[in-house]
Amino acid sequence: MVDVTRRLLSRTRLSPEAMDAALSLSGLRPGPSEWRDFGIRAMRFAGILSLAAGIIFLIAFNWDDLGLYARFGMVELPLLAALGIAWTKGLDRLSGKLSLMLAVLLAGGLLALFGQTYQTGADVYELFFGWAALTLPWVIACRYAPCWALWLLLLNLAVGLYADTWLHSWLSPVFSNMDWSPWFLPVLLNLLLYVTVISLGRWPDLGLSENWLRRAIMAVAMMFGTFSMLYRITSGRRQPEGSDTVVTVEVLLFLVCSAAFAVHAFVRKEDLFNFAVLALSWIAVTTTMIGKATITSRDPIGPLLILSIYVIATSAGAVKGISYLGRQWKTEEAVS
Amino acid sequence: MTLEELAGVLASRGLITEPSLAIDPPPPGGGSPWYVSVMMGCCAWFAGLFLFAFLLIPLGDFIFHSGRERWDALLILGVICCVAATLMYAAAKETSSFLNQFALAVSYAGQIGMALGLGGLGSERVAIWGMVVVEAVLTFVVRNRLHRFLTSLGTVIAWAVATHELIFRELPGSELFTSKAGPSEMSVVSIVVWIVIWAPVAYGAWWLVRNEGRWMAAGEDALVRPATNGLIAALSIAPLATHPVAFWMALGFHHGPDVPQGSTALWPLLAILLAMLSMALGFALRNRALIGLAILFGLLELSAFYYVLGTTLLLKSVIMILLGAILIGAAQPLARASK
Repeated sequence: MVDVTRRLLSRTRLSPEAMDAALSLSGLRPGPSEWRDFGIRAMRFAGILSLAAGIIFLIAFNWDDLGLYARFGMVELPLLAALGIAWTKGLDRLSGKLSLMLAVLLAGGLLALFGQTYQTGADVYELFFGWAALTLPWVIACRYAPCWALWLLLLNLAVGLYADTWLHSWLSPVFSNMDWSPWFLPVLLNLLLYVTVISLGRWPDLGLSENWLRRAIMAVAMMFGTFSMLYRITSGRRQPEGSDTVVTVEVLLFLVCSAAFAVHAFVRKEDLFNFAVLALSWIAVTTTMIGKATITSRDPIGPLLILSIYVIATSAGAVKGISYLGRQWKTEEAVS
Repeated sequence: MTLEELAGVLASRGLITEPSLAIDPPPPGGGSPWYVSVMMGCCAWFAGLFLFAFLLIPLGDFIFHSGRERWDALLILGVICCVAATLMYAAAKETSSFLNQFALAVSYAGQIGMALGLGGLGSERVAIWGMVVVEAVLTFVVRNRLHRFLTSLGTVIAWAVATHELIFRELPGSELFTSKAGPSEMSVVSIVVWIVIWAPVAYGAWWLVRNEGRWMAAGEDALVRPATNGLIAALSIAPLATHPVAFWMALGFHHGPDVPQGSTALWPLLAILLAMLSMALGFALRNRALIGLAILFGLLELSAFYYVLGTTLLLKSVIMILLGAILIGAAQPLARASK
């Protein structure tokens, strides 16, 4: 809407003074109160991040000379203070939400300190799993999209690190001798997260209905899916025996992801973002396939031109398609 | 507020004579959402690389003939590609997706050719400063919003690389495997020069945002809007290119003996400042994509601040806790005033 109004104003023949006034009156330029709100939010958010980073840096510092109680007190006191502020301010206010978010961050620091002090021998992914599991109730209570984003990042890190080592884990008897790509589990996770966020997004109070959160999950899922496919295409015949099933499952998951994201966007008729990401992903995958099949060291020139034209044509086609859908949705919206 | 209501208010203030707004017909095509532009830019970049390789391989024998390198041929090829792209954009309608994408890919191929040609004919320094000029010229000459955004972003990135080379006498990344990071990288002078170099870019972005009404009224929206967005995006992205090599070494991107890290931890902090400015300018234009980009790069720099060596974690911790306390403290009176 902002872009449309701006484009309309840019086609008027107003004087500079009138244009300035028009920009302010039409809400294209933030007023003093909006600037103040933005300043408060930005400073508080950056302040909380700085405090959390500072305390985590402090934990990471090698405190050989400090006693056990002092070391734990360094994390637990700020953690309790953050929880206390969240309690007194209430979770309907930004300051309360930010305090609880700080507590979520510090909980990770506490777990890391615990592992460092008692040498638990836990893998890094276990730290992240524990962090995500323990803080989930706070994240639900916080009902704040950035806090959810932080939690989803923790979960992704946990699963990503786990996928890296899972052949040596309790799943190894089931999946032994199977060459799973390290991106398979993250794709599956983010697909499930997407479905969950969409389902829970019906209740705006949960803080999960922000568009950017859904977009980020979708983009991450497709990014891992694309990596997974590129890994399969480029590794080609070097794959070990018995990995056909694995490859089939991974390709199927990529197809299911693509179809799910496309169908959801098509049914909702609200956001074209999914189509742009899908187009980019599919162009990358198919270009790699064509390149792998055609480029040889003897005659690389022809295939290079074909690849170039293919990428241009498919991306141009995608733009056409996305623009057509956008126009179609606007028309349908106007009619209804 | 509708356009009629807006015209009524402007007329009542005496800013326009009649209570209606004359609007020129819209240019064909309109603008694409930012994510479609990102997709187009990425695809065109790869298509440009393929195209450049396609052009270079048959000419390879001529350009690199028996030890005698003809970099001028590569430069001419680059210029021809850029001119062809400019002509294609001039001939193409905004709605012609294929021709626009093809022109962008040809332009990318031309820019790569010109950078390599300038580097081969002169030196790395000639190539980088040459690209500052080329990117700036393309911003003015090529009549396409996405191309203008990318070339204005490219201008600042080239400017950042060029000034990096000027301060540290090295190309970003070029010394990673030789552990040659020198003491000049850590000197106070280098930091002052860094600020002097970024001040005009930051001021330029701020000035353009502040004078938005003026250039919109002058009918310069098609040129200045994408250039402004490119400049603001560059404030988030380009500072990465000005970090000294020691910074990347301190992040572990090197092999070989350790080098003195000095005050490398300062560079991500400086970059965070620019990202915050970029976020504020994005807010002034109500551009969520620019705000998101600034937050993303600000967080990346923050994590780099953690990992980079050069100072103790204790000092970093004190800096962050103090900064956090100051920011939260400064927000309090503002919050009270807003009540």
